[in-house]
Amino acid sequence: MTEAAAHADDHDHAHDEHGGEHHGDHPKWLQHHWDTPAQQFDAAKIGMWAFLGQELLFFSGLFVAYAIYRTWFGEAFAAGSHQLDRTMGAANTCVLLFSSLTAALSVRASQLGKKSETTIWILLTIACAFIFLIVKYFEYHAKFDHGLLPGSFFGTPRDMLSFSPLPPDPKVAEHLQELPDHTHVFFSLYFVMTGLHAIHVIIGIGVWVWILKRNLRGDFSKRYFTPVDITALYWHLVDLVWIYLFPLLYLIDYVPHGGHH
Amino acid sequence: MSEKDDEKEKSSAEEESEEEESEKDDSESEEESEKEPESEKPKAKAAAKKDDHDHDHDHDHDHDHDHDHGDLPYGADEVHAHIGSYKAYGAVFMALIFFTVLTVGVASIHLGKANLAVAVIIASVKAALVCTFFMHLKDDNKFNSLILIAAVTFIGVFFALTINDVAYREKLDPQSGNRMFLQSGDKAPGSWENPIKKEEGPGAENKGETKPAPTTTATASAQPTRDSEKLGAPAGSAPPK
Repeated sequence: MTEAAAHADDHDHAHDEHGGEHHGDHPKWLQHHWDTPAQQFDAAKIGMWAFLGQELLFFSGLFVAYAIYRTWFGEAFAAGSHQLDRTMGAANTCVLLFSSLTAALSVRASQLGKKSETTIWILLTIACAFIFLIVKYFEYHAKFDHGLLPGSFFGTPRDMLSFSPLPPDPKVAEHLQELPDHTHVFFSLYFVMTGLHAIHVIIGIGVWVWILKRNLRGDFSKRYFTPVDITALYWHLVDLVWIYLFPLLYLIDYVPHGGHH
Repeated sequence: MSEKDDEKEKSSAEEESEEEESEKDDSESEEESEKEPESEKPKAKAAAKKDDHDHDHDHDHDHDHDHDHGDLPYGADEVHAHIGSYKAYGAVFMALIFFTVLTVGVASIHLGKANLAVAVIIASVKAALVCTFFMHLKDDNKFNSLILIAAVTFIGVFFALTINDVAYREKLDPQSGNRMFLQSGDKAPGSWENPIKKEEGPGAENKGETKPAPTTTATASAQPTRDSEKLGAPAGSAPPK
């Protein structure tokens, strides 16, 4: 009883000293509107999951659009999918899965208060993100070279940086002629979905760099690793979206209504 | 009341020693970071002292009052987060890689429509692994899992109702101007007659017919004509766009 009373006193004490230094009772990282670190942590997690729920719904719009157009233009989607490089796609999948592992391990190291180890895992996560983007760059480059572009841009090979049309290549033109009618729809979805995902990867890199900076500054400890945890949650979502994107975009096989291939 | 306090203090003490034990295990298993905690201890202490000079007091304070706050929704000042082991995370990662290889492997087997279902199922297993273990849903508040499940449920509703509409809709056949069902190649009920005849075909005028006009496609693929023609045609003879 007396302990509880004393604790209540300390809380009041902290609030009295609010104007000046108020390291009285609560640690620096505990925001004033939370009573306990546990409450702050739980609230941060719930808030982040609410955001992740939103992100899932956000991407689901594109996935439903994909489902609609794949239903209507199955052949075009299969042909479009065959234009993609499965090896690069699979490699990118493995890179992101590994980055998910390093993200989880960075949270673990942070939970144990191991600053250097946290730094290493964060750096590895960022490195994987860059590898992913570099592979994406080469993939997009191949698409641009072959005129496999979204919507109305489909059919003309273009330069990636300037977007100006490249000199016509008969082999490329012949190849394009062979593709089914609605292939441009597939590539619209391909570029929007992977492009939006890549934007999320870039944002993730920015957040990880910030968290890395904070970690090096010594902000995190065994008792306060919440930002690392939250950032890792965001990163896992980026990985989750790619886990679905890869088979749906890269591994389509078309079967006509007749049944056999 | 005092008995309860004793029990609670015991359990908090147990948890403390558990954490220390798990730390010891972890430091044994990792070789590189054995040196690091020691070298960074003075640095960390200095940093802690700078940022939060009541850190030590706080620490003791917290352990004394760990489970004493009956009035607060959370009885603990310490954050009780589960710390996974290298083994567990590594095993989940290997499982994810395995399922990735499986996905690519199954994609080369021609299962027809089942390919899509299998791909989505394997992807969902991978997603479940990431969510449960990497994202700590297994050890978190159940409410976080509820948020995820709610989002997924509504995505499911989104898909189900949309596909139920879209998959069974007729499409406008550009050749005949009639609305046809994709699956069967039949004319859709209530189709209107396109007054501008693209080609001759007296059969197309008769609304009562269930079979389409001879000039329009009625092949098993039931796709608009141009696609199927292109697929079958060899490379030199495709019609110009």
